[in-house]
Amino acid sequence: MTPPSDHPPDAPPDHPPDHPPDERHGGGRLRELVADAFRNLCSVRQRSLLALLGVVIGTAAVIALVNIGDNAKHHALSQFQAMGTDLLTVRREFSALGQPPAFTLDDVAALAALPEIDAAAPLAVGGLEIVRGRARVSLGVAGVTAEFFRLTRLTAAAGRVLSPLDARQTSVVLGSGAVRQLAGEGAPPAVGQWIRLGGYNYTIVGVLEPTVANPLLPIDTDNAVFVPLEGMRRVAAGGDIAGIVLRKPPETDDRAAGAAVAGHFAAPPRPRPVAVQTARQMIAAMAEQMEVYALLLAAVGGISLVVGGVGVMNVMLMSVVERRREIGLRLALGARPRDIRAMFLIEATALSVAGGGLGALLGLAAAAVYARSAGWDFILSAAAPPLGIGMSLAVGLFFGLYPAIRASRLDPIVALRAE
Amino acid sequence: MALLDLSGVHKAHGDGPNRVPVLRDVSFAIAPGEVCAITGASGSGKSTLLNLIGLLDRPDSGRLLFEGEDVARATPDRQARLRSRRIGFVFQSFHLLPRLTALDNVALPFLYRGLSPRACRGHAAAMLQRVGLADRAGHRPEELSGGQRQRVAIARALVGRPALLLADEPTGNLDSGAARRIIDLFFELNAETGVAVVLVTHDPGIAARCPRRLTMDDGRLTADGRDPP
Ligand SMILES: Nc1ncnc2c1ncn2[C@@H]1O[C@H](COP(=O)(O)OP(=O)(O)OP(=O)(O)O)[C@@H](O)[C@H]1O
Ligand SMILES: [Mg+2]
Repeated sequence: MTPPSDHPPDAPPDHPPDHPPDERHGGGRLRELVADAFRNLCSVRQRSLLALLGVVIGTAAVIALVNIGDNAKHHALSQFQAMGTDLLTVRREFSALGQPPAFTLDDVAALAALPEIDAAAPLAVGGLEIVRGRARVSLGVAGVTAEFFRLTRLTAAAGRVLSPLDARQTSVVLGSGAVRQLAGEGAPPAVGQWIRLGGYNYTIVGVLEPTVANPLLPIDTDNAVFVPLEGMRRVAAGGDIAGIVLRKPPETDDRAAGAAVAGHFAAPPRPRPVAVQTARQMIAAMAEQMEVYALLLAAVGGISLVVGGVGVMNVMLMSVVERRREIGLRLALGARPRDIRAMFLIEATALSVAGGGLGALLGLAAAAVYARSAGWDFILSAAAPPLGIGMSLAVGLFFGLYPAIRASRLDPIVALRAE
Repeated sequence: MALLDLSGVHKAHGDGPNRVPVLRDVSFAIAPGEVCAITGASGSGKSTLLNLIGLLDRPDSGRLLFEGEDVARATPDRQARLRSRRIGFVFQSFHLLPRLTALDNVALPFLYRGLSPRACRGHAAAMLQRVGLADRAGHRPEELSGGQRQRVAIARALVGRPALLLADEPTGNLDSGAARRIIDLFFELNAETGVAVVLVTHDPGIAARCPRRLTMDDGRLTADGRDPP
């Protein structure tokens, strides 16, 4: 028999060469296929939009989760950044006998003398309603010594922090948030003025730099007023030392430091139940909490993505049935089965990625709103956009594959005859 | 060498007890540039034969040579390649894509030659002009008459300069005036480009205009009439 004849090259020889040769592969071709896919999708806009919804919600959930998680981590770090991670606290634990045994200044001195501990400062806390002009605000009151400011690295933005000389004075240092609250509509309280605390006139000696609340401390330092521990009884009920704030040397392991502190309270002459908490423990606990929360959101996101993927599959399957004649025609025009498969796969992916892009924007918006309401800084997580696009791409490819294979297996004759 | 050479081609449709022979021992050859009509009663196997020639289907037995190449057993990709480069189809129901303009419909085949239809719009426009629809390039199929739609389809079939044009009842949906102009166009394009034309028709008038007429009856080729040159 005759050997196969050599067929003319791709473009007929007598055609004017008005297309550059590099249009044959790569970019131009893919762009054409993708453009074709979008045109096809637009012709069934309504149904496409419905399918999109699942992908949008799924991607939004996952993106929001990633970004909120990142922001939470950032916030947690910022909480400890100011005071450092070498901080520990001891709180009284209520014993079975009822009345919690108080801490004493001797305890503070004994703890400060431990080799595992650098410094210790007592802390008494209470709450107080303060009236100033027409403002009436509830604020936390902390009874502290001069050591407390050094230990927690709280510094004054104006005036000074408390000194040992203030011990017997009616001096007060205000947190920056407390100043804002006390200002009300009028002028903020300034250094040198006085405010009335529990029937006494306290002179304002300093205002602190703004701080982020440290979860280790029993009080929000930004929205508190600080008075000398010795005079705490005058302004707030109780006035006992509720906790001791400690700082360990950086080279000491935090578990060793915690154990040393607990050891002091377990030993005679006065064994008492206490709870020791270290910054690192707290960070670990918070991370664990975030993980549970992230897992939950991931499950929600995953389920909606699957639902969205099934929606994409549904749209594509219907599209295959509706466009049988078109598939038959394209086959007659010389499309290979794999061209048909690619066409539907690109359509499914385009649909899914469009939903993914939309979902990513929505997720970021949700994360921003969440961060705002939680009082965190909003930071765009670097992982979020590629994750959103990547996930929706994967969903489109995975759920688009079956309809695409169905389309590519159509018999052109049957397809051309379809209604 | 013949453009197309069939010998002893058999084809049956259906499965099991419903299996019916549709083509029985069909043999004939078509030379390059030939114009040939296939006629016959409804159900005699004309469309089935045309689908075999167009490489949309395979014979059960027999030999099918396209430009000397045995295509009955060629791979699907090879058949697709031949369809995109050497064969053009025109259908009774036009089969234009409704969301594309006339111009883009004509440019569509380039996609399956690995070219960008957009970049090949120049060829498509020239072809549309040739079929007399230069002023309708931007219209969608629904804005065109039946005759115009079939002209767009012919432009699409011929834009890649195939060697063989297959038309299954191309005038079946047209009135006699439009039908005549379509057939005129076939003859003109055959004379200009040398493309061979095989068309299935029920219209004795159209068949009579073709220099060669094959007649089918119950799956067999019963007559092969040629006008004297
Ligand atoms: N896919 C199929 N399955 C079963 N039988 C089929 C199939 N396709 C065609 N047939 C049968 O094959 C025979 C020939 O069909 P074909 O379409 O080739 O006829 P035709 O000559 O083109 O008829 P018409 O002039 O009506 O178009 C008919 O009896 C038809 O019922
Ligand atoms: Mg038929």
